[in-house]
Amino acid sequence: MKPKVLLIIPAYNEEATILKVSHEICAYRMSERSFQLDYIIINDGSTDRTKEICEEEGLPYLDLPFNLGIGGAVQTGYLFAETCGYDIAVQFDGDGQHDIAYLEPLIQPLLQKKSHFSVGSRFIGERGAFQSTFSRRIGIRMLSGILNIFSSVKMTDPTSGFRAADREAIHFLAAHYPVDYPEPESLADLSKKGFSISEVPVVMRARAGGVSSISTVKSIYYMVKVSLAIVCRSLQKKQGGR
Amino acid sequence: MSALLRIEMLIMALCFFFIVFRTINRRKMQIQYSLLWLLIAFCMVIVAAFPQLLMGLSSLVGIKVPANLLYFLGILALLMLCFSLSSIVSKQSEQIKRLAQIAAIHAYVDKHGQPCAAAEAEKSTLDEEKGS
Repeated sequence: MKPKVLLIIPAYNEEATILKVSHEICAYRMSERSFQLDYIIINDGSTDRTKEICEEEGLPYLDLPFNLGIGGAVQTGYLFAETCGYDIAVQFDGDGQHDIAYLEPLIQPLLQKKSHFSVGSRFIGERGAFQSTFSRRIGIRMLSGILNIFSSVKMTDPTSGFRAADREAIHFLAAHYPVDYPEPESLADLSKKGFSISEVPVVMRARAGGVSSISTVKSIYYMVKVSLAIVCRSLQKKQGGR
Repeated sequence: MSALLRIEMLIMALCFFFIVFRTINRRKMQIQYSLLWLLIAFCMVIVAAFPQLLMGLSSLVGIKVPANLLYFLGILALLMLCFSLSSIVSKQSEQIKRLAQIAAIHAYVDKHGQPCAAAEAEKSTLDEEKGS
């Protein structure tokens, strides 16, 4: 029995790219694989035509009644994955930044049962064209350091949204997922709970369309809030026994 | 303190106490959230009726101006209130988020029948094609 993999595609105002992303996935599905692949778009209260496009083109999507933010939207995906009994759930961006070709390498550690959670990093292995902006990279380096010091999690790309979870991690994340800027914090949470996390080199593309939802001011708030959350989490007693 | 001032304060405190009670009775506020308000209202009435209590308490605690003690206690009460409100809001926010998520999943299941029926259909089609 082939393992069932679900792509969780959170979408907030991604009318420019959502159709292209779904076509890419469908094309990839045609190829020979060792796993069964499904995807679900999470419409996070989009104000543009994202929902209409999904409806018109018959794309599988969950319609949130109002905007929950990336944390709430992704968690909905994990809840859906758990409800439907998927073996692996993969977060996949709806803006075209993630390349489906790297899906298989990303879930390899999970398929081989080497770890519970796998993160695709832009900063190890072959360096792709898209390495994010300079200031973002500095911020990411700082976050990596903080994560390492306080949570003993060695990640080169903790903000990467291209990540995969196995059944146990899905169960945990469906119940506990940070509401805003969740990527680094969720790694600290997983580590605290005793999940093994691995990193896989991937190459990402620049945003194909639309606008990033994180401005400069928000970036500073992001850094402060996430760092604080990581430090707080590190003070919590280690919870084992998943 | 002048008698007039005391009477004014007492009337105000009693009015506040009355308003809090009415709000609870009209079911505009649940009992558990109103407990702190009731306590504040009650203390206001007591202090207005017996200002000597405040004087005595402030000299006991070591505060020179009794009014400062009043302000300090008032601020403390408001801080506690705000903190509890933040906790309540956080919890409700989590509940609302969960409801939204479940609603979205239910709507999908209602529309498409059994969850992941599409996945099951694809799988069985593929299996048939491959003759496995």
